[in-house]
Amino acid sequence: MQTSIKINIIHPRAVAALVIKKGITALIGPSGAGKTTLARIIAGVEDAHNKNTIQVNDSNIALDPPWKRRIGYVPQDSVLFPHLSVAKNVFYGGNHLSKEQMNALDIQHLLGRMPNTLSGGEAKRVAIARALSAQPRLLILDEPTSGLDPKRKQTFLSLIRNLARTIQIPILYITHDVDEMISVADHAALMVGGSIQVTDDLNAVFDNPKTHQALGLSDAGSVLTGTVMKIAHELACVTIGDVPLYIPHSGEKIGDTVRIRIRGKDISLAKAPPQDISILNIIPVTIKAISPINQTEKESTGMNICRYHLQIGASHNTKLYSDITRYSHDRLALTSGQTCYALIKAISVQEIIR
Amino acid sequence: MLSDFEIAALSLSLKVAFMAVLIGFPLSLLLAHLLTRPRFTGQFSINILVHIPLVVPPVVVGYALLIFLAPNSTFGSWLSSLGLNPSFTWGAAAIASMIMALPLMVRAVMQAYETIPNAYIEVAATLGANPLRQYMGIILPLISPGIRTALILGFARAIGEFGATITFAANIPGLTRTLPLALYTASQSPGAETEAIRFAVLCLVPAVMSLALSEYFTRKSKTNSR
Repeated sequence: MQTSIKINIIHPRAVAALVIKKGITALIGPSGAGKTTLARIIAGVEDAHNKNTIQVNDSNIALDPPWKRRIGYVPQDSVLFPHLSVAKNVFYGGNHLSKEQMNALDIQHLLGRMPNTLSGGEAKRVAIARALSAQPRLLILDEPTSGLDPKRKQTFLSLIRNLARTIQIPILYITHDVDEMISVADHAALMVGGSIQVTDDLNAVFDNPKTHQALGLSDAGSVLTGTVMKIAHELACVTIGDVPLYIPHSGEKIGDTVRIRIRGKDISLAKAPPQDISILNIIPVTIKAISPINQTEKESTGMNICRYHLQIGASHNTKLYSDITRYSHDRLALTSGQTCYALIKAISVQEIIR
Repeated sequence: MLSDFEIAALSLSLKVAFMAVLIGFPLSLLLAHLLTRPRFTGQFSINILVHIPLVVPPVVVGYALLIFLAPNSTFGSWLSSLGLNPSFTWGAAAIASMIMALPLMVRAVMQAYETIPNAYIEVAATLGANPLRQYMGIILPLISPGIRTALILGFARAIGEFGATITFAANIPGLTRTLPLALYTASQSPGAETEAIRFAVLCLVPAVMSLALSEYFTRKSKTNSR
């Protein structure tokens, strides 16, 4: 049985119309955007308007008390009950945790311990297990990687992806980190200033100018999904559609699906394919549009920058962005519809391990 | 070793203090719960009422009880008709002690209550625990250090209670003459200095015992949390 959750919430600090489907939906936005408030309203632990609706399989649970909602909520700081053992924490709300889930969360060896002996990452896994054990209809993870060092973060993210594959429960994943969103999410919702602005599948949300605006220039760019075809010279060759792209090799195997993030400011443009150049990726693209960068970004960089909206090849709609200075733009005199070459340094490509 | 008078006063004191805690403690749990909840009408008045015995002379509390529960008062005569009027019985001493000990117990529980982050209760709720289960499974165990303090403080206060007791329950040998009242009586009788000192020492015994117990539990909970 597939659960989908339709949410319609009006609250002074959180306005949201959102459908959460199976898989991981990232709720992304800058801090203070109201993400946690929204999560708490859904879970039923924040006072809210009685006209809100939270539809789970066509029944509205927005008026139910939290203990009748079956919404799993894992707050940012885990909140394990300090007087109960890990096992008692995990089975506090029920014992519906499968062996598979327990293995995916890697908590078997922790069951006999007390919460105050756990590391931050262990506590987080236990808190997730505890939420799942109560058989929720939606699992909300609020900034689950906060407090983890970068290496543990990667391990944790792959654990979350594995977990998402083993459960049928939709996951709402709250984060302010774009990399994290790209790494785990299938769908995304952008929340800014207390309301959800965009909700769609991951690429569409990432492509949306509102997302770029909300997350700032340094995070603006595009996400591509590709397959690893070849590994050589410490590089992996990934095909995006039928276009090969070289990226640094970091452990992936041939046939793996990877997500790649390319920042707009890491793509240069050339009218003709340059010769004798260190840049490995020279990709023919069509210019779809050229737009001046918005005001907030202009203020943060102090420069006049043009954003080129590019399309790789002609047949598929894989988009790229290139941010170049106004001066370069004037010099090249490129216009919409023209074909040119996108130059991407292999080492500037950020691969998000999947 | 102890005279019959001393044994009678000591056992009466223990009986009165135990009864005061037995009734007062559940009441203080309830009051602490009400007073730490989000605001409601009447919360302020309850708060003031509970804390009055802490700030007025105990005689005032005893006198108020006397007026309110006297056999010729409205409420008192109704209690008498049921055969339940406690005036001038050891039950009166227990009630006086309970009321004097109540604010201390309520405060101890409230303080423990306030140290529990709301998040524990919220998470328990999202895991399907209704308010009763939240209280029994999460709140009660987490406030247990506060509960111990409340019990010990309440007992110590009840066993040492003097002013309200002598006013409300009077000073009837064998019936309401608890240790402090016996000490007072001896101190007022010429030539009973030795007796008075013996009562004073007897008063110390339960007090020192409760302090030792409190210290023991504090240490134990410290080693447990390590």
